[in-house]
Amino acid sequence: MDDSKFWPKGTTRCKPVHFGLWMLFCLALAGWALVSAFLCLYKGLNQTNMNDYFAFGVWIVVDLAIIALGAGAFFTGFMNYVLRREELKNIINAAVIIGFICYSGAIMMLGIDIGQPIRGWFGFWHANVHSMLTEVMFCITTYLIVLIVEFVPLILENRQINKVPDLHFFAHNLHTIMIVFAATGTFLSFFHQGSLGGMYGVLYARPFAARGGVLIWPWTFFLFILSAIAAGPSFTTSIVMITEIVTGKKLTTHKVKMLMAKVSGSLLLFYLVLKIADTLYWAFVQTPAMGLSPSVYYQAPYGTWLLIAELGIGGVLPCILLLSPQVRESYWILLLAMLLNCFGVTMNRFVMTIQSLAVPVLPFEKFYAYLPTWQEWGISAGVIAYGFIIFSLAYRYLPVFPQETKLNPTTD
Amino acid sequence: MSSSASEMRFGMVIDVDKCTGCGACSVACMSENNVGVLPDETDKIRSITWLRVYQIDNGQPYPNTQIAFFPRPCQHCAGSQGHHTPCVSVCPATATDRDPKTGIVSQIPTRCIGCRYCVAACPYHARYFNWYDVPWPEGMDKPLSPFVAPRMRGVVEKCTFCFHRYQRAQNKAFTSGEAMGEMDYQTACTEACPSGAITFGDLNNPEHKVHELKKSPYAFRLLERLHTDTAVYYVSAREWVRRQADNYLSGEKLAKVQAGGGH
Amino acid sequence: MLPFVFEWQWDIGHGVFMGLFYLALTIVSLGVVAALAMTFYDLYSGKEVHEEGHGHEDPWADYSYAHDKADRGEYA
Repeated sequence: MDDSKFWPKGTTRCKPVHFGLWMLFCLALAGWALVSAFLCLYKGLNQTNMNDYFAFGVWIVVDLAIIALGAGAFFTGFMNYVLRREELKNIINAAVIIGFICYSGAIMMLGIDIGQPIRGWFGFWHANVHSMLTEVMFCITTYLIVLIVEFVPLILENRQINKVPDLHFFAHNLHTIMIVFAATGTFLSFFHQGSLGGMYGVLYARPFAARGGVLIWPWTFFLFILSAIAAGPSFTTSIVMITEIVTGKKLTTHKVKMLMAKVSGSLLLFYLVLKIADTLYWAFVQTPAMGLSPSVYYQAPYGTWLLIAELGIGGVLPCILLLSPQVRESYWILLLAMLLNCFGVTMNRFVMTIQSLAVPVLPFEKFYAYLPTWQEWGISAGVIAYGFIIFSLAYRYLPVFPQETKLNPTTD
Repeated sequence: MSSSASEMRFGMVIDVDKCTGCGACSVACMSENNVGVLPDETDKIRSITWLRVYQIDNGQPYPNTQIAFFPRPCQHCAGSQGHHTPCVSVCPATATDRDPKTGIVSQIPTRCIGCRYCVAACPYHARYFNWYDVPWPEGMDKPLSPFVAPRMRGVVEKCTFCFHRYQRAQNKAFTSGEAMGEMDYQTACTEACPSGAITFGDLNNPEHKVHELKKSPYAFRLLERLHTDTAVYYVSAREWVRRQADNYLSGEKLAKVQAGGGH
Repeated sequence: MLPFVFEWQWDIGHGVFMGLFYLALTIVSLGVVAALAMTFYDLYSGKEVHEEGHGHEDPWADYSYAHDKADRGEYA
């Protein structure tokens, strides 16, 4: 089977049999997720290890993490279309696809995570506008619509589809007014990244998560926005780099990656300053005022190693690396720094979700730990498989990287 | 956000020193509110007990060991210092609400989407998610109360201060033309307690016993430092019991009512 | 979500929240409608499809320019 006429013009792709095997692997992962999803929907959430203490589990962690990492889409779009950083055109398509994967994946996961998925729309219909979660629901859904609108022209630019005049012009015209969608997406994404953080900060009866703030927004609102836009560009770029390693091709110039790294590093520095200030205030002022000492928060297995992993290995270290020009020049250390940045934001979402719930508030309550079941892992793996499938198909058949033909001249 | 004098605020005063930990309140609650028996009741962090009885001890070795019990229904928080009820403000689907007329925090299971955000918000663990379909075995459906709808899998439920009894009392008052009396509306747990440890009534009404009881120098509430402004008071003459109602730094003195809504 | 759902309140909270939500939806829908309208205009005005969509109108056509500039270090 030869699918080369669907490949972007002037590019080569791996043999269909190799691609097929890779797809089979991804579909096997997706199959695991489908079995898990069926069990959770048919038998209920007793298939998980969540309970009345761990009301949220690994799904919410993965959800928050991929949404933070997917922030590369809106922030790259913002820099490209609104701030007019033209060179980011060379990575914006990848950012949009990754964003689309992250957001649609998160929504699918949430559909299984809620106890009554058929009633999911009640959050819209009977919206409680004072809840951060309502804001998250509205913004994520609307932003997914924006991402679809941003993704559609790219699909239409497939070599064969683009021959249809209607679709060709439609794709072109969507591109022309992309700034409208990018700006709307920026607004929406900005707010729900914040609301996801706000969700924890407003839990004023949960001392680990609670934070002061300004007006209706707790500090976590701003910290989540900052950490997401610091990690998002890193994630987008590291996915591009991993694609380069897997395909053995150069897909964007190193300059583009270095620019993304610089943006990521600078935002990470800004975030870390505020986050460390917030952590110090929280540990030494807010917590004692509630009659607790920070040692109550950090009990096995959720010890202080989490703080070191999140802010040290996943924070200060990648920040130093990303801000040093020598590191940005190097391919592999740059990739490592970006992955560490992504690790840091994932740890932050883990800590805010799991540790918040593990810490007992009533003095006579116990400190609990939680481990997901295979069904929970299955669904989390399914989202990753879904991402692999969409990104692989997009790379194979769509002109994702405008610089690819130039950087990889073929005799074609 | 404390209630004004003209509004009612139903609440409890539970005398910890009278509580023997028999669990009659818990059982009465389950029976009254159609709380089912789950397939695996050994899994205590998933079983549903709207009114859970916690056992605490003073941490001393024998023979100085003392124990006490904290029966814990939903605390029906009002929230203070600019905060709303912890769970009500977070629900995305308006499936839980606090009625300012009665101070009762309601739950609408048929509207709950099961996101469990309220469960995460409640520091008292008073909210329970239905992890299982309740298997009502043959015949077990016979004693179900017709006044409370059983809940389905995938929604959150909690103590409502037997709100259906409030409605019944209102109906009675309406048909008889007489004002609702203190004894017209009592929760199932209050009636079931053999030692009379639980007293229920309108905390704002000087004619109700709770109005006086909550003023005891030994009265306290759970986690007052969080400013949740709960409607459930506890009373104990033992200082170690009062100290376990809230978090204190080592060496910190036990403070009387750090926060709250001025009751 | 809609004014006839019984929790709907005409207060500031609802106004701001729903106002922004419907504003965002309106902008996105109008954007798509505009793209469709432009497409119909292009089709009926007899505009021709450039080969593989890589003609001078292609939004990426100037990528090499941006790339060259980047390679010259103008963005570094």
